[in-house]
Amino acid sequence: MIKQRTEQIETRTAKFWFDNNGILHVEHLAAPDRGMSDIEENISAIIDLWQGTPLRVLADIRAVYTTTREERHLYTNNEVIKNQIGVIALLVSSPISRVIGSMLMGINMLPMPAKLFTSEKDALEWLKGFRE
Amino acid sequence: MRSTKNELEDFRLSKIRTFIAHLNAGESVVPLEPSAESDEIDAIIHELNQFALAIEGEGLQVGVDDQRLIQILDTIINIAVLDFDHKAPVTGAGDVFDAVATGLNALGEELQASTVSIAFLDSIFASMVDPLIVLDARAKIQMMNPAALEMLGYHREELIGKGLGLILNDPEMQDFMLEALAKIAYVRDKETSFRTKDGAEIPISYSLSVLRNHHGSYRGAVCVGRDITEKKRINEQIAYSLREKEVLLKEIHHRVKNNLQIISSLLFLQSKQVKDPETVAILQDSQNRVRSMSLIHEKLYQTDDLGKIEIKTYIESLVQSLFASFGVSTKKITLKIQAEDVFFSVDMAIPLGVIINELVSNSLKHGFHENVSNDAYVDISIDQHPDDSWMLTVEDNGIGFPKGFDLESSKSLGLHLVRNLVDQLNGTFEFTNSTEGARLQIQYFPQRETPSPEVLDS
Repeated sequence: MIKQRTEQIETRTAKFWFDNNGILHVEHLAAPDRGMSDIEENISAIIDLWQGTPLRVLADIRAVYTTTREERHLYTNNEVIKNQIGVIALLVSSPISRVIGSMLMGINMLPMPAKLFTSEKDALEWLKGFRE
Repeated sequence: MRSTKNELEDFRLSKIRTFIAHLNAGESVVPLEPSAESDEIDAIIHELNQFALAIEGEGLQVGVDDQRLIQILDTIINIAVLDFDHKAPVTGAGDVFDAVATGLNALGEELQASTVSIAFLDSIFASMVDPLIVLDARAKIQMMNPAALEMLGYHREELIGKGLGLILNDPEMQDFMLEALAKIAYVRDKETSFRTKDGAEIPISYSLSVLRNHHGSYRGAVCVGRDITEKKRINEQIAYSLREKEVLLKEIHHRVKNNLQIISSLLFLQSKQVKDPETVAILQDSQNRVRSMSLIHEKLYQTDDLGKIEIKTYIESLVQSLFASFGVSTKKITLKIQAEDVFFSVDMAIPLGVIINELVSNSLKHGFHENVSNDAYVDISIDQHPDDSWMLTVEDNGIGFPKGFDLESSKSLGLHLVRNLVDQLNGTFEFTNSTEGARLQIQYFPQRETPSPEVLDS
């Protein structure tokens, strides 16, 4: 039985919430001035939401238009991300978010199963295929 | 300077330049083939192919936004020559050009981070005082550091792509080196010689190790050499000096032996001048003692090692000489010598020789009747004991010493000498006497020198 999680966190640059399937939604907001402290704040949010089992995450990066090397590496090499996220679907739409998604999966080699989607429905279906 | 990849003469860069030129001219392009290296240049190739597909997929026409396209192409060209400071502008339009610019900028950042170490290594190679040569999988020279070029007197372009044999004094050494490398993955501290452009030979000590690509496949080899001209010169000088000293030492031993022989001859001549048998015997004893020492020096200058005596052959020569001196045939009295193939220092050999001289002389002079039995013998042996001490035994089966004879209090000069020399050796002795023969055993702790296998083999 899937346990209902109702927690919701909102940082300056992202919103976090669980849906009825236990999938963690991370919606990145348009924030051109996003910095390292914002990334750290978002990682802290994931720590707060973690309940001991690997998370299935839908990361909506459609509004992300910039990224620095430090930000990419913080996301992909952070021990919390490595240990607490079991699978991640990256939701992209614009050419830029598609490139950034590709970079996260390619150059920096995300340590967990990851896939790019332009359809949120398809992304959620894919994530449901992984057991909680 | 940061053009490490250029120095590696990676042919893929020229393909990239051609690809960009076609794109820039608005011509259709065939996607670039990535190599098996999976390295940074392959990442650029991938990005370029994506870029070309994006132009085609989005229906963009070169010239629609010529300025932005030129900026992106400039960035690609800069990345291709490893200049990562140039960034493609991202306008915020969120279109394909922004996407490509974002991707290229990120690629540049990643490459810059990974290329720093290459530049760092490059600077290390350049600062090395020893020559370093990188070979490709076909043993062709792929890279050389400035020290190698300076040593060999070539320009870089004269050697890049050439076989290693070109710079080896013996070109066949190339195959030998690579065969050795194939067997053990590295070769360390071997010696060969380089041949410079002007034909000079430079002896080197070299190490060779396998170079592998990202997948662990054989990619070539790295050779690091060191000029050992000075070391060789010093070694030759030392060897020459050593040979000189050996010759000198042999000459000294030769002269000492000659002088002792003269003394021995003088004693012999004097013995012929006197009529008194006792005096003759004294002179003859002295002559034999001098000869025992003379023989040591003769053995020393006849052997390779001028400081040590191979004890078995010395005893054989000494005792055979005594038999001859007393006119005793070994057919009449059997001589048995048992000794290991060991070497003793001169300090040890001389007292041992004199002791043996005295005991055997005594045995031959007094130990047997005129008509000796058929089984008469004199035995000499030197054995090592488990406590590292050595035991010299001189034994005969003659008539023995007179009843009640006491070696400790004997007034005989020869036996007095034996006692003193045993003390000199820090040894002890055990004397056994009967009507069936006499035996003297001397135990001592010499500073023995065991010969090296080479000495024994020779």
